[in-house]
Amino acid sequence: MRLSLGSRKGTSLIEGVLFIPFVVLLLVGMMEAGRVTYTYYQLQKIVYSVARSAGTQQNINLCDPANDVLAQSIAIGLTGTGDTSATSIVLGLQASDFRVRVERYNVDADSIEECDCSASGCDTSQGGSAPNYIFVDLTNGYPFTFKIPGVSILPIIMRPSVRLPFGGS
Amino acid sequence: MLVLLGTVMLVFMGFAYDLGRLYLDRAEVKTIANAMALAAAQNLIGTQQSTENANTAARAAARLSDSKGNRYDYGSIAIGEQTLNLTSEVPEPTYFDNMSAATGVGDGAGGGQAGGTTARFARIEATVEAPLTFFGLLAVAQERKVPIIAAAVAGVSGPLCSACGVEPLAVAAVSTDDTIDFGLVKGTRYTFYFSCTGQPTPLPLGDAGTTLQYLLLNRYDTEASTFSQEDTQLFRNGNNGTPPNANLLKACITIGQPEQIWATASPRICAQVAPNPSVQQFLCGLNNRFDNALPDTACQAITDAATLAGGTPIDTDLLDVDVYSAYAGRGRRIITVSVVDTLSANSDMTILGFRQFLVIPNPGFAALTPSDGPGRFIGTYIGNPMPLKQGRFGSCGVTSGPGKVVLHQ
Repeated sequence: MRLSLGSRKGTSLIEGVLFIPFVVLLLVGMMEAGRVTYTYYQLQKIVYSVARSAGTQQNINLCDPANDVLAQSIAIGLTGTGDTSATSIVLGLQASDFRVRVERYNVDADSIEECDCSASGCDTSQGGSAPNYIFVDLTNGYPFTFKIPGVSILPIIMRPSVRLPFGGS
Repeated sequence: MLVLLGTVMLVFMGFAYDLGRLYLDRAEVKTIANAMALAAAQNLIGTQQSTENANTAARAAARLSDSKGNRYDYGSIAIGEQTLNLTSEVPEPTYFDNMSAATGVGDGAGGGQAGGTTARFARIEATVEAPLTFFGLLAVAQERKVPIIAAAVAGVSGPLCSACGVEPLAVAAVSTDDTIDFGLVKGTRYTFYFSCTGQPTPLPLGDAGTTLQYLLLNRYDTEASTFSQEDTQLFRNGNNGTPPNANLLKACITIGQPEQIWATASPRICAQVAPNPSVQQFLCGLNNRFDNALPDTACQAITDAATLAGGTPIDTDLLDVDVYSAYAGRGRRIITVSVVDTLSANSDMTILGFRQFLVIPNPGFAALTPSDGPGRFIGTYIGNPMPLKQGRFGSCGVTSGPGKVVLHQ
């Protein structure tokens, strides 16, 4: 049986109508996949910048989350400036989300261990010595929310982290 | 037509995703390489053992601790960790005595590697396997993975104009014409004694026949809210150098800056037998680099000394080494001394530069003797091989002196 020209046009139209939602979904999905990578890349760079900045400051108290110099280091990573009131590069990420852990190398055990924030540890404000390494991450991670119209997906938690030696420039 | 278009779009979007992921992975591996290179370079202090210490520090920077550490591929894989499909190895640093050889750029590119006594730069080349999702559909990438390489070079910087966290000790230049060593001789053991007037001048200790007078530069912070006691601050300065301070004039020492002596540590007549209490308190702190126990009642009487004494691990090598290159420690008993034009108790002293000494146990002891009347201790002059943790660059015009570790690539 031969289809008339009008029938073939109708079939193509139906195919197109059925196919377009898949194409749109595919497009949006791939854009979201790209956004995941881009967001994680940004977070990684931010955490690295915070660690690098905090690790090279002279008068920083890594044991005091309210320390001005530490706040400035976090702002450098978070906003690209030392201004603590500037807007975050990544939407919703806040200074309070960061966690800084001070670490010391144990020669005998050949391992890195968390250093107490005390006089016998790495709290320089209490007379302790500077740490060997600092570790920076996000306390509860960063919840990445997908934005796909009509589709509901639970956010994924991104957990970038960086360990760098303390000191230098 | 639409099906064909959709397929082409899918292929290109898939490739775009893979490329983005590879770009992210490379950035994460670069972070690992940076951390390893920085950690290694901090340990390059011009001793035979320094490269081994640097290797250990670099590996520690790459390893996970309490499941925390540097990872790649969305923070999921540690370097050296094997997964079902992917492998990687923790790279060993390579060492060079000049930046061109380390970076492969410039006149010295292609230069050979250096040993522990001459190494100043550490290079890391980290290679990992990164996963491929869509590229893996192609025949040329059937293994579904691709190697990623990231390199980093860290090493000592040019000389610093401000040194922070260093010992507030000053000695006079033996020769101001010698801008490299100020007339000091590398490898020579000097008997440091606290500056005094009259005769007889203190005798040298053991085989350290050349004497050097020193003074304490004023770093008494009267505005300190914690450890406000002067004796505590003297102990702390001896133990760890000047502590962090918002006031850079207290935390750092700057070339060209006029300095005065620590007021309570003024020179006395050389014949006096009893030590100057302030000098003794400083030496109690310096002694803490050899021994966490407080050696005598004078040290034990220092406010908060017991609290501070355990704060910093002692050096890992406490031996009386004949030559500096045989020292196996990590620099805990290396002191950075300010070289001034003239030692003066009554007028300003001008800082000319910073030079480093390895402190040696006093003869017959395993550590120092803070109760020594003239405040003597032995230091082997080593030049400026150890990078400082903190400091600032500037336009002070010096061409030689300690730097700090910076990333060069």
